[in-house]
Amino acid sequence: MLDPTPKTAKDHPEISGGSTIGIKYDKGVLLAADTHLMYAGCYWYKDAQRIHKVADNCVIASSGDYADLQMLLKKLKDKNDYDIIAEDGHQHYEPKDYCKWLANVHFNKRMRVDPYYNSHIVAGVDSKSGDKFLGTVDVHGNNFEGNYVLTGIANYFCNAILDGNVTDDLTLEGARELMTKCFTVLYYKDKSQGDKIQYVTIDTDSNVNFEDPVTLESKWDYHFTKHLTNDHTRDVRFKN
Amino acid sequence: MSGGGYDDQFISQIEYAQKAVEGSSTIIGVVCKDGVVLATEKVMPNKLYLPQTDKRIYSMSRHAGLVANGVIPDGRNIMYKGRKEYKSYGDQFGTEITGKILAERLAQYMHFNTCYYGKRPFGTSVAVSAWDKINGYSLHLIEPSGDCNQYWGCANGRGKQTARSELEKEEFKETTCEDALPKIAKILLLSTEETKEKARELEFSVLSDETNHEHKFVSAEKTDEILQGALKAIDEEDMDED
Amino acid sequence: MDPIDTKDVMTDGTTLVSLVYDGGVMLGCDGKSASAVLIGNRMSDKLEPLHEHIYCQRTGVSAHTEAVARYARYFLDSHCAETGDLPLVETAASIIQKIFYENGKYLRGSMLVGGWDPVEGPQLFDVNKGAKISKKIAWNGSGSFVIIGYLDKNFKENMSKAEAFEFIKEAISLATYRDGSSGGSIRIVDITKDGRKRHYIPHNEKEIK
Repeated sequence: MLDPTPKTAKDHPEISGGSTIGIKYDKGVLLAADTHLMYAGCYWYKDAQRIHKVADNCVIASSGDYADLQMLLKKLKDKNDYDIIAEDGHQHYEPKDYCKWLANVHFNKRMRVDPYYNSHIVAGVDSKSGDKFLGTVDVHGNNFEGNYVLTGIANYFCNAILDGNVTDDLTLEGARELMTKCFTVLYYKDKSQGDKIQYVTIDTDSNVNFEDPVTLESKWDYHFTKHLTNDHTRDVRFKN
Repeated sequence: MSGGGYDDQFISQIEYAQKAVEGSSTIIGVVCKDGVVLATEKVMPNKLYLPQTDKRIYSMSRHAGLVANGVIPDGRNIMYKGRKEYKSYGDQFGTEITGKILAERLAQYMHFNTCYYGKRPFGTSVAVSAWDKINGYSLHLIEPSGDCNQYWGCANGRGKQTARSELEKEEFKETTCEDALPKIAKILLLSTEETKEKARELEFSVLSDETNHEHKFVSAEKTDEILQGALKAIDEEDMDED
Repeated sequence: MDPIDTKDVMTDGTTLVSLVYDGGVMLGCDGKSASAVLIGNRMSDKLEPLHEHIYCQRTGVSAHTEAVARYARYFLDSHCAETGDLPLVETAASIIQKIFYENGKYLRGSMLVGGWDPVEGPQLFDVNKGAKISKKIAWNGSGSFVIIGYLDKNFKENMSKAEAFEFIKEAISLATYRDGSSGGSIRIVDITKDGRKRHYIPHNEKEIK
């Protein structure tokens, strides 16, 4: 019997992660994401891994649907494994190629009106030339490169912080400081942003370092929040 | 019955396939203390042959390898089947295929080809080395008939008698893969004394703790070094006997 | 948006709470299944055995999740016939994940998969909307929303068996106290390497009612 119901695609991400940010610094690439996954308006998973290693010299950070991400990671692993076991003397994928490949997969799926609800940051170092790579892929299959790239709501909040500040001689400390600033702003303004941030660095020698998540420091003791309350502005007479 | 008859309790098609295996290069698989080694020797067909291009060892996944002899294209077909099985198992069950199941499925595939008119048995025998988190290291040898058994050490091909008795003598379970390589090279060369005059080439792969449970080929330079070392050792032994 | 009208379908509103304790895994759930406001089954069993040492828990539309569990059991059985070994918990979770990911548009529900296997010991997986995440404590269902704070505050890793039992009992009692879609008796299954043991706490024996 034919299925009477039309095939409908998932129209929004279910379990989803927030923004991710990637910055190039002088000796490598810095990536960061929080460790929260949201489901049904709840911080459902508080210690999820949002940044994944896909090859020895390539890392991706993803926002959006986690189920789709797990499927993509499986595809990436299959692809990577196949390239390795083929032993055909051909070059393996470089970060740039992974970025393009992901963009193609995304474009293909969205043209079937069943997109992967993810946007990724692909970061890595070319194993031949040692060039840093930092690119982004979005749900439609667009892909861009840049000195810094953003996914999710960070696109609205963090361009102003990063634009012009990501220079060729930016140190790791400088990059980390900028990143912390971005995540603090996001933590203040984006409800899906958690305060536990995981940093990952890839340096030009292809050393990938997954750091333990750190808690963001945020400021809450402004003068106006403490002293200028409604009591001062409302027309109410207090006895003392 | 003609062709695929059961004359003298044998199925002649399978016998022919086994002939193809028995006359071809020796393959050896050995389980060591910390992993599995696959090895084969091959005679260079002629002087125009480009070294290192006649591959007999292949990977089926990051954790499983295979060495084939006899009709090599048949062996490659088995290898591709193995890769497919690895992937379909992973897609279906979310965990990696174990060595035992991979070998059994390949054996089933080879046996399938002995059963039907219009198909012919594979003229190859393969040794499958694998690692998985359930059973650890494993080594299986599959014959053209589809017969599949697990071994600590196995050999097939023209030098199988010598190789098997030599494998029994050595205590490979107490040696590491690294130390086993020269010994295996020697066994391979000893088992094929009759081709002594011809130029020979060896091929090794290691799947061990050292390679992070991954199936890795031993590089051409190192293989050559091992081959020269083994040749020298055999020569010295001959001198002693004289 | 739903492919079929699921408004009046029997659903497990459900409180599921499961955790890995020292040496085993314990899965607990309430016993209420409702079609809209009507309680269709006041002592339903939301613990589905998948294999000797593996159980899963259902939440969402009963018909959907029961069918998924049935398929998973069948796949797992044929898998074990091939391996001749106890299945891995991860295998069971992956099978369910695959069913949910590929048919996500038609299925309303989620599952927790917990059990013991000889390779990795006791494990628990949260299989939610096609994602599969390994956890030490997992919860799901409408009732779990009202007790997440309780779970976060009181859960410790490597609890003893008695502690784990009391923890799950109290958590589900609290949830059924407030959530309209959860209620009734508590069922708990305790899986260790020695096997599985079922517990049943009738509604009137709960401390918090």
